[in-house]
Amino acid sequence: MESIKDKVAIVGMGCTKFGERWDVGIHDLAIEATYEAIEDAGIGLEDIQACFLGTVTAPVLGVGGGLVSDALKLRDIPIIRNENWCTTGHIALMEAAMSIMAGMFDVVLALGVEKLKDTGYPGLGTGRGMHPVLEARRTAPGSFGMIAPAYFKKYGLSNEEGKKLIGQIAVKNHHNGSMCPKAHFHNEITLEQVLKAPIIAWPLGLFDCCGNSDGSAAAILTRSDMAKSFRDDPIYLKGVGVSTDSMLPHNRPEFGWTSFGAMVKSSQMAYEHAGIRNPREELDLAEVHDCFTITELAIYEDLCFSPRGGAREDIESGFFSLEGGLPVNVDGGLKCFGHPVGASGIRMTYEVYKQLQGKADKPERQIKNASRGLSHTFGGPPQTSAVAIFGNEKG
Amino acid sequence: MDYKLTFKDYADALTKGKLLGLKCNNCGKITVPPKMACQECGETDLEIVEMNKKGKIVTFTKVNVAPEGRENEIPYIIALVQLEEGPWIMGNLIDIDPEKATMELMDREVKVGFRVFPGDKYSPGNQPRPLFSFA
Ligand SMILES: [Zn+2]
Repeated sequence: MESIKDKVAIVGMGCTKFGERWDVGIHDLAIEATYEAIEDAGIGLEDIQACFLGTVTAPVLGVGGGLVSDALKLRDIPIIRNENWCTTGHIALMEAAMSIMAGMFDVVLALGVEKLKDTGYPGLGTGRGMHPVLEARRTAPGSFGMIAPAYFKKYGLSNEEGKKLIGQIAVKNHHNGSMCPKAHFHNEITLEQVLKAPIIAWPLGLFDCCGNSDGSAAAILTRSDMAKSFRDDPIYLKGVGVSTDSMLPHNRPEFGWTSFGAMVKSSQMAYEHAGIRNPREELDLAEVHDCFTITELAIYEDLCFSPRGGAREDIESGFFSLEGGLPVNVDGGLKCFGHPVGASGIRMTYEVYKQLQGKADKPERQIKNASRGLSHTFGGPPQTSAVAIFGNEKG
Repeated sequence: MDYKLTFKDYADALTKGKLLGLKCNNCGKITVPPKMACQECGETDLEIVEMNKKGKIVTFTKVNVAPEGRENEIPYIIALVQLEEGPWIMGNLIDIDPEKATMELMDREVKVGFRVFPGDKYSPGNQPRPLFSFA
């Protein structure tokens, strides 16, 4: 298998304001993100040769390519829509990259858009819930909540110690997001607030759960040998990985619930493409799937940011803070920036892209000399994981 | 392809107090609830076996925000139980005030019963599902 490193570049990106966007339709979100992306790339809509669209629950208008063809005047070009749980945005990016590597197109749009609030989601992603008989009224918070007792027990944490440990992740992400103009929420929170918040699915309280938001993000991709004709500072794709566990975690005997094969394999795949041996040292920032605080903790270990059982020490030392050794979710993450499902993988990549260009929206959140960044989504019961790695120079 | 144990037969047996599984003649693992092929290896040569309905809690959560239309069931505990025969199954835990659910539940031994839950617009009607109580 050949490495995909440095074959594709991103030359323009856009991201809407995330939040409860009752004032706009899904069309408008797609326009808001895509117009920023084409302006950033210095191209027109007519230059887009294909569109890879990620959306999960698009309401009212259906979920096919027509969802955006009219809005964006993308007439008569291929529009290919995917849905793959929370990895949907990343899958759109990867499809776009693969189409370029295959030589089919030179300039493509990867677009993620979700108008989550209009689907009737009550705000916590519970919806109709999982299979009522087989899965005992499990909800999204309930699914991920089950990681926590298993992790706490394995590493000898009491109820209170465990709650405090994951609560610090929410405090960090709200701090980061409070500085982000496009984030859904802008409030700092205290650990005490996290601990006292109503329980959604034990031990996860309100502040352990991400925001359910409307939003869209877009990327213009091209061949890396053409990238500098668009801009001086393209961002190169270094590696991707996707993995789906062959068995639902709750059906897998001996499953530990502290580590997920899909997260390990997808990240290893991406590291291999990118030539990264020690992600803890070699990455300058990471945007990861903090749908719930406990998920971000599991990610630290599965993506090899922390050694097994080492997440606690790294959380407590501030290793993942904006000033730490490996800043994680520097724009607030799903927790504070929000989680319009199909857009999230591209929103994370937008933050990585801006950081690697040295163009963070506010100088106080710019990571100095950032040259390698990672974005990651994880979805399903949970079962499916996607990772992409980017760099600001070839090689 | 033969469906060795249909979901209806599994549910009927559950309401008679029997928990049925499918033992794989290739890898020996047991699949509960039933599927057309072994959930471990994909083999279709399976035989019906009866579980002794004993196991222990391997992880759990307590749900305070329910799926749509199930608000009257909260709060409830969802437990993942490892049966003595090996497979893991999911169900609700009774015998404890859900608001008191903490780490002390881990590894607790339970027995498997059932309760019939009302159907909704997404299901064909009333359905039994496993219910755990302390052994
Ligand atoms: Zn088998």
